Amino acid sequence: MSDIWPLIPAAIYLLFFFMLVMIALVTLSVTEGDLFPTFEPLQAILKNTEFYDALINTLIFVIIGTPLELIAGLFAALLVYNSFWGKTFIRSVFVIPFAFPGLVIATLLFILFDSQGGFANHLLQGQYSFFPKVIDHDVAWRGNKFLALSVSMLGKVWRDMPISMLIILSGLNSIEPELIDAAKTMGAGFRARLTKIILPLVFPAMTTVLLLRSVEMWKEFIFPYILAGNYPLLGTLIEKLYGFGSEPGEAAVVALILVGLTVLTLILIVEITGRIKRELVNSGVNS
Amino acid sequence: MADLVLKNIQKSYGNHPVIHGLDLHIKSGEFVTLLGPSGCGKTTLLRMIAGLEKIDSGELWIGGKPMQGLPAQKRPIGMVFQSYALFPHMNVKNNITFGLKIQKMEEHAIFSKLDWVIPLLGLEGLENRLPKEISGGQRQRVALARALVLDPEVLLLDEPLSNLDAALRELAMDELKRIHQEVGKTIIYVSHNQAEAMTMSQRIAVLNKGHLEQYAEPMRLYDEPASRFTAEFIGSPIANSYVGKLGTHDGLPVVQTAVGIIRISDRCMGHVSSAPKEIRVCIRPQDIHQLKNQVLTPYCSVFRVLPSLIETPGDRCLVIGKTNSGEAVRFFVDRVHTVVVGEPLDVFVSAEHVHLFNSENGKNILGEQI
Amino acid sequence: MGYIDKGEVAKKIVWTSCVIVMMVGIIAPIYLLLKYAISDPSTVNTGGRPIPIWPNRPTFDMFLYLFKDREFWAVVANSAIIAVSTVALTSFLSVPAGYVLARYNFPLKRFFLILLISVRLFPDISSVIPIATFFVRMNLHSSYLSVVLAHTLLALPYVIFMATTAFEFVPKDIEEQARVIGANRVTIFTKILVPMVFPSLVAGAIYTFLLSWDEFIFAHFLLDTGGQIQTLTLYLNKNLSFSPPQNILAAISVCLSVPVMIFTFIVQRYMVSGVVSGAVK
Ligand SMILES: Nc1ncnc2c1ncn2[C@@H]1O[C@H](COP(=O)(O)OP(=O)(O)OP(=O)(O)O)[C@@H](O)[C@H]1O
Ligand SMILES: [Mg+2]
Repeated sequence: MSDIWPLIPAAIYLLFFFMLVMIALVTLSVTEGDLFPTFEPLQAILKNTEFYDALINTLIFVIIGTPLELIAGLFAALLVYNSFWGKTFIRSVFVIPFAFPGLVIATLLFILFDSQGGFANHLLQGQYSFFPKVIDHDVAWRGNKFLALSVSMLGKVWRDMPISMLIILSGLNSIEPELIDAAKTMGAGFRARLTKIILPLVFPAMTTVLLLRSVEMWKEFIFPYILAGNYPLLGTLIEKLYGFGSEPGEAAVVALILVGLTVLTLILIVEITGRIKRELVNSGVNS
Repeated sequence: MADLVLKNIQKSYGNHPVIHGLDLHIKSGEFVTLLGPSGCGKTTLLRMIAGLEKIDSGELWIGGKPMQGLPAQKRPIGMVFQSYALFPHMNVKNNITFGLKIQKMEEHAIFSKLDWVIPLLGLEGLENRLPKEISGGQRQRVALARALVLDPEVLLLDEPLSNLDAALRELAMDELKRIHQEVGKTIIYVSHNQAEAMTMSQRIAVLNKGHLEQYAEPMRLYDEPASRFTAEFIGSPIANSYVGKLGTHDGLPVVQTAVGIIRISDRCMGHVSSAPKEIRVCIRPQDIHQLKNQVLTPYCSVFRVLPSLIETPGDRCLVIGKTNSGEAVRFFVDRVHTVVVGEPLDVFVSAEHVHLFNSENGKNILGEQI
Repeated sequence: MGYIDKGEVAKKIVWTSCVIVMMVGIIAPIYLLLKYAISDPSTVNTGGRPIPIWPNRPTFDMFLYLFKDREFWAVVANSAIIAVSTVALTSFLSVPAGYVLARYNFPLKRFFLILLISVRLFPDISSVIPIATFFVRMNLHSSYLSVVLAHTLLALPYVIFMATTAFEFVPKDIEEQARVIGANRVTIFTKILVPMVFPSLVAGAIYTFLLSWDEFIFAHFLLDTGGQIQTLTLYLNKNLSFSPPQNILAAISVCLSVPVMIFTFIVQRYMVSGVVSGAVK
């Protein structure tokens, strides 16, 4: 026991802030002005239509964004894994988005997707010879819920793809090459090897990606904050309530709901992927 | 017929050549071992036959069909890897039927295949286990079963026994031999263990640094090594090796060495004048015998040795001694008490066991006759 | 042998096209960012005509403008001070912790690991409120220290994981050998262990630096209302809300990204293993 004292400062630090956050959030969520304890913040939130909007927006953001990041990362990782040349170079290029702060990418998209005569509008109106005409008039990218959230998600997935890619790539690299060779000698073509050997074997890595990325998606703030100001997600709603609205109690309620939903999602993912994994082992390669 | 023919196969990694123009003809149904020290290119050769590695130049034919440009999955081969390469996420049954399902074989046909191969390899009761839940020997048999059910014309085995302990390995060797007899497939077996190769194979291809040293039946390899490399690699412990000069003594062919003048086979007579002056003489420890009261033929040469060390590896003991001139001589004797360290004794060797090699290229001076 | 394998060729074509598409998707936005940063006003405000793909008159005016601005340098200095202090505090806390986690088993180890994970699972946006409130009460609001403490909290779980993984790779024999020779524990730690895991510790330090340099949410809540201290991310965000010319925004963005890009390239190897080891565990 005397050997573990070097751990104590870090442990105290983490425990202190963890307790601080937990206790404060719970307390704050049942405080309204001088009133304590009270369910007023909770009731206010439950009556707030903006909350339901934000909840649904966030849910959509998570449900679409998480698999999108998985697919983008998987695709990039498979390209690197099956490289014919320049594996290291291609990987280095694919990692670049990770080197840009989220805020920078959000700002860039803010510029590119300007509502009046931004680059995206010009591009889609066919003003450059290398791109076909898709739209006739300028599109107000931030004046429409669907578009504003889509652009946010685009930025998020672009910027975070490398993380998913690296995790899946490390999964792929830990597959013994002889397994792939064995599948070849048993007559498996590229598709069979991919679907029956490679994908099942990187399944744990994909699960990790889903777990990590779903958390990130739930708590996403920067992209919608910059690009979809009028259409809050839960993250941006908290900021709004805390800052402008000066409703810390309601903000805390939303924060607790967000934490709850995140944990719920994690449990769900663990449950579902666990079931799929058991299914994989039991049924083997049965079609 | 599934003859396998390699013609002038070459392979380099970068500019580092690994296989130098190799020719090999393996007959249908034969059990052939590729034998050689670590790093000599056995695995590379096997992987080229399987189509897992590109052949730089040369030809490969299986059953009269050229294999050039055919990817591994289209070649009539099955392979067992050194690490077994069982799919860790599939149970034994699914590992075995993987290839059959790829071929879209019907369910009942798959079942009859399983009914055939599971008892053949003694895998009853393990069907639903994962690879990590079975023993090394069982894994090896699953890997074999997985290759066998696909009914390949040629079975390639890359040191499948090297992960097993000594007892299990003997068992597995018998098993492999039995299976070879039962299914009659052409088998190419890779090993760096000469004892294993000698027991199992019908023919052995000895490889050294990407060259084929000799391709012959096990006993012939032992009795008539075509090169110094084969003579030293086959048999254990390593053969005695001396520098010598060819010549005649009383009109009979001999070789002069630091050990003494040694009578050699009459077949060498023709080479006495043509062979280079300096040659290499190899004699196996098993071929040197203690002189007691045997009747010696004129082909035998006798020399005196001073034993300096006696090892007892088994029922015979290995004596390491020195001649007057200080050369080391290793030989076997039957009983420990007949030899005492420091008491000189006479030993003899018969001419047909004296192997002579060209000092420069290491080839047997009898050359093509062998 | 001179034969052509058709399947192989088709595979190469598909693969190459996919790689090209991905590369364009990655490079194009970055190119556009750099292009905006060196654009002259006529390239930004085209009055309806297509925005040129290459600036009409490329110029470094925006950067010069920024570099002459006192506030900009103050902001850069703030970001750097906060990031460096965060690195120092994080290393101080994480390296000993990583060592203990790698070497010893103790009753509360599980609890500590769960704590690490749960701290990381907390959305920043939820934990920022209580922490901001706490700092206000402590009179630490709008101070360097508040942001450093918060950024350390964010970096700590990752960096502890990285340090643990690194120490796990050092064989125990080496330590025991040193002990047999007679070195004491502090010497062993500073002269033998730390040098051996140094690359990973550097990677952890760089990771921490970047995290702090890029961080927006905590800086926003802990500093913004005070207004005295600003970081680069806040500066960019502030400019964003003034809607200044796009080329200025792009130039600030480039300044914000440059250190990150350089670091990411230099230490990609370590970053990769660090991120992955942190993630997979
Ligand atoms: N992918 C590769 N790239 C470069 N060199 C290689 C590669 N694979 C093998 N080699 C080299 O080719 C030579 C032959 O290797 P190979 O694996 O065929 O040897 P081996 O006879 O199977 O040895 P072992 O008995 O140890 O398995 C070795 O010198 C090895 O270093
Ligand atoms: Mg090998």
